[in-house]
Amino acid sequence: MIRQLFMWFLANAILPILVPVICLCVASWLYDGSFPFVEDFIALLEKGFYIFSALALIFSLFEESEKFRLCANAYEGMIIAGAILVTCIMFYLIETKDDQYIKTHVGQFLIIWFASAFYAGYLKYKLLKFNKSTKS
Amino acid sequence: MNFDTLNILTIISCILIVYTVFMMFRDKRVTKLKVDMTSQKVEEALSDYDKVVKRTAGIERERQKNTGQHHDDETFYLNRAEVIRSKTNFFSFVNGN
Repeated sequence: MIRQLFMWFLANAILPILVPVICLCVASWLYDGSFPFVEDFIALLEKGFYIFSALALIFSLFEESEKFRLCANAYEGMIIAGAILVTCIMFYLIETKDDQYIKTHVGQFLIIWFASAFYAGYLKYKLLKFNKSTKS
Repeated sequence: MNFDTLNILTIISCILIVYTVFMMFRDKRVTKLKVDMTSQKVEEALSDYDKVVKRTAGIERERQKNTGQHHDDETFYLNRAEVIRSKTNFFSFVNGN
């Protein structure tokens, strides 16, 4: 189950950042032959792309919405909707505020990201446990 | 320091992290309680005679030890069963000889 959780995290938290980075790298490779993977990765993280990984983690829970309804109660559904709202507000702030503001408040942004991802991980663990108990 | 939207969101996130950790421990405790309740239900499903036998098993073993009926070496019981099987017609199909 831990392996499944790890693979889920890898797929939903890393891929939303990796895919645009690879697309940008391929575009720049076609344009001038360079492949700035690390630079683009850091640039996108500074632009606030880690929000998409938190959102992907939350939205991946709704792939199994039928089981999610059975194993999570109404409060947890409400909190996860609130987490979506909070991450969207965070993205709005990153887009509208200037770079200096984002650099000084990066710790707070990371706390918000961690809270969303941690709660999504907790619910995914409950979902996997529920799947395991119903399978046997 | 200005208190803006980001600070409110950060406080909400911190509360969420604490709540999640609390719920993880609570889930663990509730699971343990459920397991205990299941064993309790199994206990309740026993008949009165079984309950008495189960609860007085320790006393019965002590009594047997004091009167010399109990043997810690289980080969004693195996040998006795072997003797019973060999001498009783009812167990002839088990014997195989």
